[in-house]
Amino acid sequence: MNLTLLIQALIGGFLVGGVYSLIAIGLSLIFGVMKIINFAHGEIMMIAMYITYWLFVLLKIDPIISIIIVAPLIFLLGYCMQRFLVNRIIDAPELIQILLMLGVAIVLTNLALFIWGPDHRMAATRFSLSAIMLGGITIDVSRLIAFGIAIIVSIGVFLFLAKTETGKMIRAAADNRLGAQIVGIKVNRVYAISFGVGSACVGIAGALILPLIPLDPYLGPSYTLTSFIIVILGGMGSLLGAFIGGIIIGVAESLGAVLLVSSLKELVSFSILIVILLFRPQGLFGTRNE
Amino acid sequence: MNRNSIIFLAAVLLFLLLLPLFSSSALIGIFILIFFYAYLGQCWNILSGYVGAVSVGHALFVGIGAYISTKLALVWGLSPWIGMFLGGFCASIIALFIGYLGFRFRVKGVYFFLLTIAFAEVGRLIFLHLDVFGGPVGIFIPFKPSFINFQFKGNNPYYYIAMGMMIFSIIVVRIIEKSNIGLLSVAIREDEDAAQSLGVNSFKCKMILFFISGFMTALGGTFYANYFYYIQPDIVFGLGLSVDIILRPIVGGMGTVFGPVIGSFLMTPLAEFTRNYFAKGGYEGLHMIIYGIILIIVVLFFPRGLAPSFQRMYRSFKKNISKS
Amino acid sequence: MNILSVKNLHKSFGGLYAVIELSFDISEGEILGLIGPNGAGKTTLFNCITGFLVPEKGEIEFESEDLVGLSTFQICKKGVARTFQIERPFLDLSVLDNVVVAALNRIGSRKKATDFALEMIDFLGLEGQKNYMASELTVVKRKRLEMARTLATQPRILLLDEVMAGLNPNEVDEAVKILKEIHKKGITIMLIEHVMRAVMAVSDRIIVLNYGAKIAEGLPSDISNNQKVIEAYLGEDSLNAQG
Repeated sequence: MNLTLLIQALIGGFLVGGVYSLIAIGLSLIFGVMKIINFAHGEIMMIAMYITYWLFVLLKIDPIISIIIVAPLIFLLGYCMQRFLVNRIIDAPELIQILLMLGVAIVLTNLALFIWGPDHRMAATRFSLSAIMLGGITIDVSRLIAFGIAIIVSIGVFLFLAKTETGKMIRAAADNRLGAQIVGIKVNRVYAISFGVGSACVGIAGALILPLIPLDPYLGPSYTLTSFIIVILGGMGSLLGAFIGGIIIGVAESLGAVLLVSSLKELVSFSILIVILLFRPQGLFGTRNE
Repeated sequence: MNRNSIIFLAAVLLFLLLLPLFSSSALIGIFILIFFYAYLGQCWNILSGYVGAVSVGHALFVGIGAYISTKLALVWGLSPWIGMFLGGFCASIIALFIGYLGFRFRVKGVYFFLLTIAFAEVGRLIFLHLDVFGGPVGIFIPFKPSFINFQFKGNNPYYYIAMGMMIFSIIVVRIIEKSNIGLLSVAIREDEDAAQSLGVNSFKCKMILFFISGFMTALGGTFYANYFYYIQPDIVFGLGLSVDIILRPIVGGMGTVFGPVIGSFLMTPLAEFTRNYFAKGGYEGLHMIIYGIILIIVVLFFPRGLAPSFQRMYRSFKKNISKS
Repeated sequence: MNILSVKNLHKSFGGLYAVIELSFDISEGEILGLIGPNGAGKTTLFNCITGFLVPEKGEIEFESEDLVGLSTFQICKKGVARTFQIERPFLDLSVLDNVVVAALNRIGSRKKATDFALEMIDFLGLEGQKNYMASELTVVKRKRLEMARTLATQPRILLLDEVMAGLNPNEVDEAVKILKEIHKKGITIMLIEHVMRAVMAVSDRIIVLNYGAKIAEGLPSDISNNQKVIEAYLGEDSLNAQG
C-alpha cells in the first residue's frame, strides 16, 4: 500500500466529507424540528444538481455562483412540500410519513427522468482539471472549493439557528411544539421554513458536488442513505453530530475505496451503520431517551 | 367467515382458475405479477403488518432465494423445486440473525427500517462482488423448459404457480392471525411494553414471524428467477424491490389478511398499464410519476390502507340494511 | 412469609436519584399502600420490580428468587403483574382479546384462555363491552380493562399504579370493593394511590416515599398522624397552591 495514495484518499475523503456534512445537516435539521425522516432528501439534491447543471450549460453560470439561484429555489421547493404535503401527516405514524416521502422521491426521480432523460451528465467547470500539488499529493481544486463553501454554509446554518429570531423560533418549536404554540409561535410556518432551510442545505450541497460526480436521475437513494448513516452516526437531530459524522463517513468511504475495492466503499458505511444501530443507537452526539 | 363471503371467495377463485382459458397472454402476464407481489406483500405482512417491525429490506430474502436456487440448479442441476427450500432455509437463518441483533438490542421504528435497509444493501454489495455469482453482470438462466427445471413455455403454468403461492400465503397469514402468536403479535404491535408486562415474550414472537417471513419471501425469489430468467444484485437485492414489496400491503392495509392482495390488485395493474401506455409513447418516467402521485394520495387520504376503509364501509352498509 | 422483599434498592437518572436505599417487605396476603408526593419514586419502584428499569444496586426478591436482570415478561410469568398509571390498552384489539392476551400467560389453550378472560371480564363488570374495540372505551372502563388484564395473567402479587385516579366517589367505592374481592382470592396487593380515603380503607400497612426514600411506614392510623408525612404533603400542597 502506497502511503501517498493513502494520505491522498484521506484528504480527498475529508474534503468530500464536508459536503456530506452539509447534506446531513439538512436532514438532521428537518428531523430535529419535525421528527420527519426525509426519504426524498437525495432526490431534492438531484433536482438541485439538475438546476445547477442547466444554469451552467445554458447560461454558463459557474456552479458556485449558481448557489445564489439554486438555494432560494430549493428552499421554496422544500417550503411548499412541507406546506402542502408533509404538514398533513405530521402526526401520522412513522411508516406513513416515510411512505409519503417515498412517494415524493418517486415523483421527483421520474420527473427528472421524464424531463432530462436517463443519461449521465458531467459538468466540466473551469476548476475541473486544476489541482494543487503538495509534495506528491494532488488536491482537487473543485473539492477544496466545495469543502470550503460547505463549511461556510454549515457555519451559516449554525449562526442562523443560534442568533436570528427565526432560528430561535425553530429551536423552540423543535424543543417543545406545544410550548412554542402557547407563546405564539406560528409552528406551521416555522416547520415550513425549517423544511425549506433543510432542503436548501442539501440543494447547495448538490451544486457543490456537481463538478465531482456524474449526474443522473437515479442518484438520490444512495445519497439519502448516506445522509441517514451520517445522521444516525452523529445522533438524530444533532447538527454538530451531523457535521462531524459527515467528515467521518467521507473519510471512511474514501479509505474503504482505496483499501478495498472502490465499488465497496458503501460497504464500509453500511457496516458502520449496523454497528452504530446496535451498540449506540443514540449516535455519537445524541442523547438517549429512556 | 360467513356464507356470503365464502361464496364470494369461491366465485373469485373459480374465475381466476378459468381466466387463462379466455384471455390474452399479456393479461395473464399482469396477473402473474399481481399474484407475485401479493405473495411477497403477504410475506412481508407476516412480520411487519402483524408484529409491527417494519422491514424495508425484504429484497434481501428475494435475492438470497433467487441466487441460491439458481446457482444450485446451474452447478449441480438441482431442481429449483428443491433449491427453493434450501434458499428459504438460508434466508430464514439470515432473518434470525438480523432479528436477533435487532430485537435483542431493541432496535425499533425508523432504526429498524434502517437496519433492514443496511443489511439488504450489504447483501447487494456482497453479491455485486462475488464473481461466482456473476458479479454486476448477474446470471442469465438458460431456457430449458421442463417441470423439474421450474421453466415452462408460455405463461399459463407460471400463472397457476403464482396463484398457488398467493393462496398459500393467504392461508398462512389467516392461520397466523387466528393463532395465539397472531393475537400476541398484534398486542406487541400496539404496545410492546404493555404486552411484555402481561407475560408476552415479544422477542420470541418476533423471531418466529421473521423466520417464517424470511423463508417464504425467499421462495418468491426462486419464482422471480425462473420467471424472468435473469437475476442481478441491483434488481433482486435493491431498495427499489424492497419498496415495491411494502407498497402494496400498505396501500391495501397492513396487518390484515386481504390487505396485500387488495393492494396488489390495485397497484400492480396500475403500474403495468401506465408503464405500457406511456413508455410506448416515449414518455419515459411518466408512469412512475403517476404511480408516485397515487401513492401520495393514498397515504394522505387512506393512511391505514384501503382494506380497513372497505371494512368500515361494509360494516356501516350492513348496519343500514339491518336498520331498514 | 414474605412474598416480595426489596433490599437497598437504588435507581438514578443521570445523577438524580429516583429511589434511594429503599428496603421493605410484603408478606403474603397483605395489602400494602404506597403513597408520597409526585416524583417521590413510586412508579420508578414499580418499573424496577417489573423489569422495565434495571436498578443500579439492590435486590428484589420474589418468593426467594431474584428478579433483578429478568425481563418484564419473565417477571410476569413468575407471578408479578402490574397496571400502568396511564392505561395502555391494545387499542386495535377488542376488550375480550385484550384480556385473552393476558390469559395466555398461564393458559396454553385459546379456548380455555378465552373462558378465563370472560370470567375476568364479568368480574370487573365489562361483559357489556366485551366486543367493543378497546379504543371505544371510556377512561373508567379502560381502568377496569387494565385490571381485568392483569388479573387474567393470574398473578401472585398485583402492583396497582393509581387505579382510582380520576374516579368519582361512587366509582372509588366500587373499586375498593373490587380490590377487597381480589384480595379474597389470595392475591397480595401493592398499590400506589393518591385517593387517601381508598388507601386508608383498604391497606393493611402503608409506606410513604419522598424524594425516593422511605420516610414512614406503619398502620394507616399511624401514618395519618405522622409529622414527616404531613410535612411532605403540606410542602407539596403549598407548592401546588402557589403554582
